[in-house]
Amino acid sequence: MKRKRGGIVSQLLMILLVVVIIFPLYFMTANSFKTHEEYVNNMAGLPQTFTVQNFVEAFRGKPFGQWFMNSLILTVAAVFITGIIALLAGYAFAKMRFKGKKVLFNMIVPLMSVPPVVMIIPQFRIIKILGLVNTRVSVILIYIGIMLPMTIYLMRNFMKTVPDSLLEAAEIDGCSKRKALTKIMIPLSVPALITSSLVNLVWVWNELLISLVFLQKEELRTLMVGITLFKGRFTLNIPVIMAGLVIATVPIVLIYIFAQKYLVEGMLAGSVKE
Amino acid sequence: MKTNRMKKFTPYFYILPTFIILAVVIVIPIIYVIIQSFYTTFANESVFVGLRNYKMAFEDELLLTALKNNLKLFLCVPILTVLSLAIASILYNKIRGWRFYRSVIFIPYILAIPVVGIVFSYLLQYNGVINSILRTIGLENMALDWLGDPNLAFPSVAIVIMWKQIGFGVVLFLARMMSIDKTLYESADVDGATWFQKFMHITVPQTKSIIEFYVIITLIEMLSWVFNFIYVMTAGGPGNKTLVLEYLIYKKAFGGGDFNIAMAISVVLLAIAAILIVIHQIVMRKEE
Amino acid sequence: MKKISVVLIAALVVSLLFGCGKSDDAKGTGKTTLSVWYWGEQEVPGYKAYMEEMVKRYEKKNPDIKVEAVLQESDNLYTAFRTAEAAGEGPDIQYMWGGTQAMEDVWKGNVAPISDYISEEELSVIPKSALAQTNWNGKQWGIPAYGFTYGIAYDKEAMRTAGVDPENPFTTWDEFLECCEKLKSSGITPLGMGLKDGYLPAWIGIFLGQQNMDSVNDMISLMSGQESFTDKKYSEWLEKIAELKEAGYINEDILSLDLYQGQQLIESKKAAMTLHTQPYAVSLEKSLGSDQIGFAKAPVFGTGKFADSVATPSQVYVIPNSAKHKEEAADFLLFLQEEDNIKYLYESANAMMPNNNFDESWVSSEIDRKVLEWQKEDNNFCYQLYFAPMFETDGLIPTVQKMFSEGLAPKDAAVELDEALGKCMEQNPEVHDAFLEWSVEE
Repeated sequence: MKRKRGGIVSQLLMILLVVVIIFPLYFMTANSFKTHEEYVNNMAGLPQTFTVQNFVEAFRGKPFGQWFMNSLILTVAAVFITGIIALLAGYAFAKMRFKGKKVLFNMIVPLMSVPPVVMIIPQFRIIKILGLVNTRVSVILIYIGIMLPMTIYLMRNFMKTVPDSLLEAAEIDGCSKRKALTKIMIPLSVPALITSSLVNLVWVWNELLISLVFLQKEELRTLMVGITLFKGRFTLNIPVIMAGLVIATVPIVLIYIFAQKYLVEGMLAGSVKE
Repeated sequence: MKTNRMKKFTPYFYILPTFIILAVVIVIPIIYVIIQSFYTTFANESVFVGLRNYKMAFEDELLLTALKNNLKLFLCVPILTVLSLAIASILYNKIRGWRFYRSVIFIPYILAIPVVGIVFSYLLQYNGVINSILRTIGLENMALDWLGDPNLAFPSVAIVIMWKQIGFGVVLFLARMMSIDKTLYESADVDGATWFQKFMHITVPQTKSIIEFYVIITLIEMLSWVFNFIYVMTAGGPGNKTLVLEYLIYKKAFGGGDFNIAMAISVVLLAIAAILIVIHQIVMRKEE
Repeated sequence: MKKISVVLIAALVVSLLFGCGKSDDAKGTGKTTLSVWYWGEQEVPGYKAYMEEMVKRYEKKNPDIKVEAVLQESDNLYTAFRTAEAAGEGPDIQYMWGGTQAMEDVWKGNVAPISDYISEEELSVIPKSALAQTNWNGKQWGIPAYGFTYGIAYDKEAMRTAGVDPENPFTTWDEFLECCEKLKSSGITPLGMGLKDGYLPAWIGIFLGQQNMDSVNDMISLMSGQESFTDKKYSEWLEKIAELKEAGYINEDILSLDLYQGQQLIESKKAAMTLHTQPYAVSLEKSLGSDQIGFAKAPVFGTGKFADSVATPSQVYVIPNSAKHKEEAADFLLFLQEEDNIKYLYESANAMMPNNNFDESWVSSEIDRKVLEWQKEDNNFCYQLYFAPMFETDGLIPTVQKMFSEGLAPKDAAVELDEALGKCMEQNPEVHDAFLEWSVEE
C-alpha cells in the first residue's frame, strides 16, 4: 500500500520534470509550423494553420547539408581518434609499471580544466607553424587535445577496476601486453569507451568558438556556426528561426534515439561487470 | 636482452601519442600564455613589462565580478548532484515508464548550446512565452524580465545551464545504482529501513566514487566551460551581471586593446583550476 | 567489433582526405586566391549579394585571380581577424568598423598602410573627409567600404494615428517629447530599442552624445581625460536617456532584446520609432512604401555647434600586415571604387559610397534625397569614431545597461564612465598615446 502512494508522488514529480524538459522543445517545434501572425497571437499553443513554409525559408540559401556533413566529419574523426589514444594511455597508466607513471598521470589530469578560450591565439600560431591553417585537421587536432585529459582520466580509472588477476592469467597463457590489451582490456572497456565517447561527441558537435575562429571558409563551416547566423538576421520572423533550430536538432536527436539502447546497455554492462 | 630493453620502453610508446598532442595543443599554448602575461604588444613588438598586466588585472573590479560569478556558479554543483541523485533513485525503483523518463531527461544534454540559448532567450524575454503564459493565468506580477533584471539574469542563466546538464548526472548515477548488489536493499528492507535511510546508507556510499567524479567534472565545467552559454544568452550583461572569467578573457583578448592583460587573467583562471585539481587529488589520495 | 573499426577507420581516412583535398583546390589550379573577410549585411541589407556580384565581375576581369569572400558574424568579425593576424595568417582584405575600431589594429601593427599600394591620385576620387578617419602618421590605412547616415526611422502610419505630422514629426527635444507623449497616449510604444548585446549605447551616443560639443577637440579632450563626464556638457545626454526611460517612452523589454531585434519592432508595428541607418531605412521604404516609413534627424537639445550635426561615417577595408597578396588586394579595393560598381552598390544595397563619382541623379528614394541634403547642410560628426580604446566595452555598455536594469542615476553613470575611461588609459598606455596622436592630427 505504502509503496503505491510513493509511486503516485514519484509519477507526479517525474511528469512535472518531463514537462519542464519538454516544454522548450515543444515550443521550438510547434512554432516552427506556425505563420508569423499566428505566433504573435498564439505563442504557446499548438499550430492551427500548420505551414511548412518556414522550413523552405530556413533552407533557402543555406547549405544545411554541407554544414551537417562538416560537423559530422569533425565529430567522428575527433571522437574516434581520441578514443584510441586514450585507450592506449589509459591502459599504460592503469596496468603497466614504469618510471614516472604517477608524475606523468598527475600532469595530465589538471589539463582538463584548461578553458579553451584561453588558448585560441597560441593554438592558432602553432597551427600555422604546422601548415594547417583553414583545414579540418587543425580543428580535429585541437579537439583531440582538449578531450584527451578527461577521457584518459576516465579510462584509467575504469581500467584500474579490472582485476589484475585477469591479466596475469592471460599472461600466463602466453599473451603479450599488446594482446592482453586487445583481447581482454578493450572488450572490457567498451562501456567506459562508450560513455566517454558520448560525452566527447556531444561536446564536439556543439562546439562553437574554435570552429568559428579556425575554419574561415564558407565550405568548411559547421552546423553550430551556421545556426548562429540565425541569431542576428532573421529576428523578425521567429517561426523561421525555430524551423532552422529544428533542422539542426533533429539529426542529433535521431542519432540519440537510435543509439540510446547501446549507450544505456554499455553503461549498465560496465557497472555490472565490476 | 634486446626484447627486455624494448619492454622497458613499451609503456612509453603507449603514452607517447598523448603527450605529443597535449604538448602541441595545451602545454605549449599555456607556456605562451604565461610568457605573454609579462609582456605588452605594441606595433607588432613585444615589450617586457614585468607584473604590470597582473597589477592592472587585479586593480580592475571586473576581475572580481567575474570571479564572484564563477563562484556563484559553483552553487549549481551541489544542486545538480542532489537533484540527479534524487531523480536517479526514483527511477531506480523502476516506477512505471522509467525508461521513458530516463530517455527524456537525457535529451537536453545532447542539444547544442546555441540552440538552447536561442530558444531560452525567446522563452525568457520580457514579452516572451513564459511571461505571456503567466499573464494569461493572471500572474501579472510574476512576469519579470528574466534575462534583463539585474537580480534575475544570473539565476536564469544558471537554471538554463542546469536544465541542460541534469540528464548526464541522472544517467550516470542510475547506471551505477543498477549495479549495486540487490541483496543490500533486501536486507535493509528486512530491518525496516525507510527510503531515506536506504538512500543515505546504501545508495550514497555505493555510488561515492562516481559522485566524486561527477562533482569534480561539474565544478570544472562551471569554471572553464560556460563560455558558450554566456556568449549566446547574455553577452555578460546586463551591466556585467553575468560576466564570468572566460567571457572576460574573451572580451579583453578580442575586444581590442589589452590582449596581454587577458593573458594575465588567463593565468589567474588557470591557477584557480589548478587549486581545484590539487584539492581533488588530495581527497582522492586520502581515500586510497 | 573488428569489422566495425575497420570500416570506421576507412571512413575516417576518406573523410580527412576529403577535407584536406578540398581546401587545397585553389592552390592546385595555380590561381592567386584573394581572401576577403567582410561584414555589412546586418546594417546594409543586400550587401552580401553586392559582394558576390563584385567577386563575379572581378574574376571575369581577372581570370587568374580567385576571390574568396567570407561573410563574418558581428561577434566574430574582430575575433577571427585578430587571431589569424596574431599568427600572421590574416586575410588579404579585412572589413572594419570605422574610427578607433579600425585604428586600434593599425596601432597594434596589424594593418599595412594602403597608401603604399594605392597612389594619392587614385585615392583622390574619395573625399578627404572620408579618408581622414583612417589617416595616421602621414599614411592612409583604410579605404571606405561604404558610407551611411544615422537617423531615426519611424512608422508614418503610427504618427498619423497619434496626430503627429508624419512628414515633419520633430526637430527639437521638446517636440520629440511631445511626439512621444502623443504616441504613448494612443497606445503605441514610441521608441523600440534593444540593449542586450551591447551595441546600442554607442548608437545613442551618436544621436545625442555630441550635442553640447563645438568641435572635434572637445571630444578629444573628453576621451583623453582632460574633461570629465560629470560636466553637464558631456553627460546631458545621459539625463535625456533617463528622461525617456522614466516617461515610459521606450519599450519595456529593451533589456532582453538585441540591437536588431529592437530595431525590427517598427517593422512588426510594436514601436513607432527606432534608431537606424539610412540603407536599412531605405530598404524598408522600398518594401513598405514611402508613405509608411520616414527618416528624421535626432531631436536637438544641445547648445553646441554640433547640436544638429549628422553622423555619416564610413566603414572601411584595410589590408592586413600579413596579407600575402597586397598588390592584388589594393587592386580589388580600387575596383570597388569604379563608377559602375559604386552604382551597383547603391542599387543593390542602398548604400552610398563616399566617392566623387557618386551621382546624385541615381537617387530615387525620398529618404536618400533628404539624407543628401543633411550631408550638405550640417556638420558631420560621429561620436563613436573617437572612442578611446576599450572605452565602449568596459565603460559605456555596462554603464548604460545599468541605467536601465538597476536604475543607475545619470550623475552616477557619469562618474562610472570617468572611472572606466581612466582604467582604459591606464591599461593601454601605448595604444592610448597613439590614439591621442591620431585624433589630434585630425
